[in-house]
Amino acid sequence: MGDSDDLVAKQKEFLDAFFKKGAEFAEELLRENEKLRFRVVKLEEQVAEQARAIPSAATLKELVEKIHSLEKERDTLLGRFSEVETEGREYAERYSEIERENASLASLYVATYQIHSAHDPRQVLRTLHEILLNFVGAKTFAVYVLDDEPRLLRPLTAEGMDGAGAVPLGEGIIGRVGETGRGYYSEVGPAGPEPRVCIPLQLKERIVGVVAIWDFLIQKTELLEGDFELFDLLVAQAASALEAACLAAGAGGASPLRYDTLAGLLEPRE
Amino acid sequence: MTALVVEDSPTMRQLVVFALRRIRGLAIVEAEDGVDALKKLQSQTFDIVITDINMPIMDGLKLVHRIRGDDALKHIPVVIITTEGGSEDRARALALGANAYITKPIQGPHVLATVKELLRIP
Repeated sequence: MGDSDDLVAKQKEFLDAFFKKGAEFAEELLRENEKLRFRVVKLEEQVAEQARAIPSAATLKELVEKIHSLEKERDTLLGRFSEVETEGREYAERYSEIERENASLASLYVATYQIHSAHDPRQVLRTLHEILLNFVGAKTFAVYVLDDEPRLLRPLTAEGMDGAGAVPLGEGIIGRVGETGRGYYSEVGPAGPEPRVCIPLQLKERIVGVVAIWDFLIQKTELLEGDFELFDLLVAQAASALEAACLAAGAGGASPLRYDTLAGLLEPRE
Repeated sequence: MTALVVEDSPTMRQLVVFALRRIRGLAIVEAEDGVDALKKLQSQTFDIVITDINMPIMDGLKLVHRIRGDDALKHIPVVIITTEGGSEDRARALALGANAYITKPIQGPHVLATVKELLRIP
């Protein structure tokens, strides 16, 4: 009897433990189930949120069109920017050109003013000398005046050379320029026996002298447009300035521009 | 601002003055040589001196030397104009205290740019 009671007790104990474990396992399963449900709800929410974030096909199409439109706008702006850049460059070039023209006009004005404000031949020649040296950059040059008999170009003043000799009209570059009145221009380079530049000095059509340039200052590497304009000015103006100065000097320093002289000259001729 | 142009040749002086007239508000005073320039420098204030080298009585290099040796004048920027275009001449002028060196034949825009730079005019 004692053994069977013991067995029953053991069975009961076993069953109690068994059911207790079963109950605990069931509770654990329920908790796990709860957690999983919660995660499922969370995941569903996330999926829904992501689904909302993904644009619809229509929105996507709209966005692609917007991108295309922005790309077009960017290309237009880049094109305009390039145009503005080119315009800016052109304006800068034009500005430099105007500055050069302005400087050239200033040189011409100063040269004309100075050469015509000289009142004696020495002053005219000094001004001519200064123009050639300072404005043109000539280093070795001479000014010749035509001696009608015996048709020789005689040097009146020279710079950077020991006594230039007289040149018969028609001989060499100087003589030919003195004869024809056509200027001679070659590129700036090492000095040689013949001048690099030779221009006539004219009183209207009459050639009264020549300016010959053999060499230029070391920094003068080429003849510029402004130099040719100055040469043209000297061709037309230097001789008349020299003639006016000669007239003034011939009048004993007194200006030949007097009322009685002018009035006499303005009287109608019969 | 006032600039002093020192040059014995009236032709050259007028050309430099013409170029400088493009700077708005710049007054220009002219001197015929170094001695004339020093007199003017002592009687009024200048912001810049532009001088030729070859001049009678007192040449441009002596003038620069005198300016740099005078406490009241040594701060004035000096531009030298010369016919000498060699690098040695340039170095000599700059060593004497010139701030810039312009060779003949002068170009108006170059004179203008040099003076503007020294006067810090945009």
